[in-house]
Amino acid sequence: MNNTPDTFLVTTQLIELAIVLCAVLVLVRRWVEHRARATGWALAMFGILALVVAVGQLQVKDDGSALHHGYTVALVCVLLLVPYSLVRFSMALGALGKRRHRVAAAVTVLAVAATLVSPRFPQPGEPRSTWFTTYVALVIVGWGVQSVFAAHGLWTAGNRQATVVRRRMRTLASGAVVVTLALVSSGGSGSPSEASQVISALIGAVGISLLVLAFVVPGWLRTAWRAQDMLQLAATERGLMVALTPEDVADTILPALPPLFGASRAFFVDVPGTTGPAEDEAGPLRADLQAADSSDLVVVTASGAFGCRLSPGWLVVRADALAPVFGPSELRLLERVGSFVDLALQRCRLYEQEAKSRRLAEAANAELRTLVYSVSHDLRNPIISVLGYLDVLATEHAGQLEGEGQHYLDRIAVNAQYMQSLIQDLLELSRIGRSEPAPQAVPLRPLAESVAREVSAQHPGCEIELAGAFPVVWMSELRARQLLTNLLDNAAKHGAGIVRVGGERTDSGAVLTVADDGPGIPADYREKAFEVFERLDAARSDIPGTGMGLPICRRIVESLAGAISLQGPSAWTATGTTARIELPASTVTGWQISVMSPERETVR
Amino acid sequence: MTPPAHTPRVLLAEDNVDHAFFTTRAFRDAQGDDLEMHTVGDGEQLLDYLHRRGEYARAARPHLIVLDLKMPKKGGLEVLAEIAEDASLRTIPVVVLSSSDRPEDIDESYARGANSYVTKPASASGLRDGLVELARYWMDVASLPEPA
Repeated sequence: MNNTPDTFLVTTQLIELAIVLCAVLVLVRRWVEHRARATGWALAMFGILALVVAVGQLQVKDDGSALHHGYTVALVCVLLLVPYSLVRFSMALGALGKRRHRVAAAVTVLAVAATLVSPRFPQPGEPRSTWFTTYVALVIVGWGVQSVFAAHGLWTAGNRQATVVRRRMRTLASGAVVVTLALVSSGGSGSPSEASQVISALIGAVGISLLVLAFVVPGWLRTAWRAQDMLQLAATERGLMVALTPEDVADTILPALPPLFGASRAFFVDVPGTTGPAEDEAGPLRADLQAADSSDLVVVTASGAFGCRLSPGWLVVRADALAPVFGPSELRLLERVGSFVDLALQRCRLYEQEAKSRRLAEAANAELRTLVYSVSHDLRNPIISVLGYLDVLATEHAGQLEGEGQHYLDRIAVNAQYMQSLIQDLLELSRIGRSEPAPQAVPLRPLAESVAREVSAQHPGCEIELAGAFPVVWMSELRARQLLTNLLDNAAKHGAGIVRVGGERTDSGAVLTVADDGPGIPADYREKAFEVFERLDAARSDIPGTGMGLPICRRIVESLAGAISLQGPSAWTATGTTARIELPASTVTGWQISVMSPERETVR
Repeated sequence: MTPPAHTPRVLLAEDNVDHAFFTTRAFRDAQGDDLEMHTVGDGEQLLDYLHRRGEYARAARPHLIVLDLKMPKKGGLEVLAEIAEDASLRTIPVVVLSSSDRPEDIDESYARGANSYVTKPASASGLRDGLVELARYWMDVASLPEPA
């Protein structure tokens, strides 16, 4: 027999003692902090283990005296409380029912009673009496039954729980089983060899280590257990990025948190747009959170809730009874989740505000258009009557008025007609974008030619020339005709005789220009021309027009996401105005380039 | 092209007396004296007339109805629907004559069985010319049903 197993045995037992003492220290600290029942029973169990292992190191010599027997009996009785403490611990976690507890208590009482009445424990190597063998079997079976109860309860309680909780409970269960195995292996044989003592001490050390790890799960282990859930959290955080309402945020993040933290619940308190807990819970919690006098983002309340400040409100996580402790790593995690949630909530709030003001603006706009439409519509009936009676006067009562009287009648007719045009244009303006004719591919080249023919017929002596590349535009043909008619008509009215219509293909889409050689418009007034009823040439009132043409043009072009502006004279003329339309490529479906002649083409 | 054997009878539903005057005048221009023109001021009166109720107990069935859309009590669109539902009335052609050129009004009128939709021309000469043309078409060109 060599010396090694002996030294090894002592070393193993010392390590065992160190582990148990560490556990006792940590549990004492926790007991001082929280005084949770489960911690108390865990402390009791490790305290006993520490005591027994420590006393075991003393190597008290068995002198066969009654005193030594009493000492052994006391030690064994105390040791028998270890499985009972484990049962009570499981019970405190809600993992064990009352019936099993009663069985465990009965078994323990029985074992203790048997120990107290036992005559004498045999020395190692000494043959065992039948009584002693029965006694040992009773103790081992009792211990085993309690461990199996505890292990089964803990294992089952962990099922369907968060990963951290489940793993913790399973580790606890495994620890309980392994410690029992150690006991069976050390106590089961009558004359343990040193080798089997070493083995049982090793198994004991493993079991105790498992229990210690599971009782006070260290941060690194919690983080490792949580690794898989962290991947899930990343997906949840991506979900937060697309949440549009606070409810969306709540629905996305809150269910993900209990599994992540091993918490019983996660909820919002005082976050607008979300439903928090009932006031009888929220009230005290709010007070607790606010009482925690700390500028930290994450606050731990006296009741064991963990709150992360949001702006405004709180994200609260309540720890589960089965969960391992919350440590700095959990607080950091909550802080991280909280910041994400806060960002998402703020984004939702901005989105809501934006959507609200957009809705208001749209409603106001729609209301205004409806008003304009119905007002101009109601104005039509009286003006139709006025025009009708003017016609009756002109056809049936002509000659009854003469000189000035006839002149006044003419002026009434001119003004009534002008008012009718105003009403018509107002109606038209309010109609653009309100009830649009279906869009189609409109080739602007032939349309411009046709409009040019109509316009030059109304303005004899005006030459309209077309040149360049003309787009085919996806829009309503009616609006395209309206647009070109207004622009060409304006140019013909204000020009000195030549109007040039140009088309050009650009990187961003198409550009269309309508240039005249008239007196031109001062740069400061060009933008004003797009305002409703704005006429720049009031002095030249001989030029007909309602001042509505350009606003209509702008509304048409802008409904195509394009832009229209007035510019100075084109290169070919000293004075004049150029209307420039830019259409985005998205509205252009094709191109038509003049094939007849590359030179300018005059439409007559 | 065959003119009706009887003097054509036109029922005009129009609340605006001026417009009623212009329309009546245009029909007179087109048809001269060989025309019976009756005017009612709202949709309910129109239906009373057609069903010969109250003061219209002895009213004769018209060959043609000219209907304004915007009228008090019962609008033109409601009247159209009621005429279309009545087997004894739905053979009478209905011309909608309205100042509205809203596509919704036009579509809805045809959907409810209008035979034509005319927007009141809004210019001094256009009003008379347009109405006379309308009257001429229905009086001279179109064949009207025989009143029962």
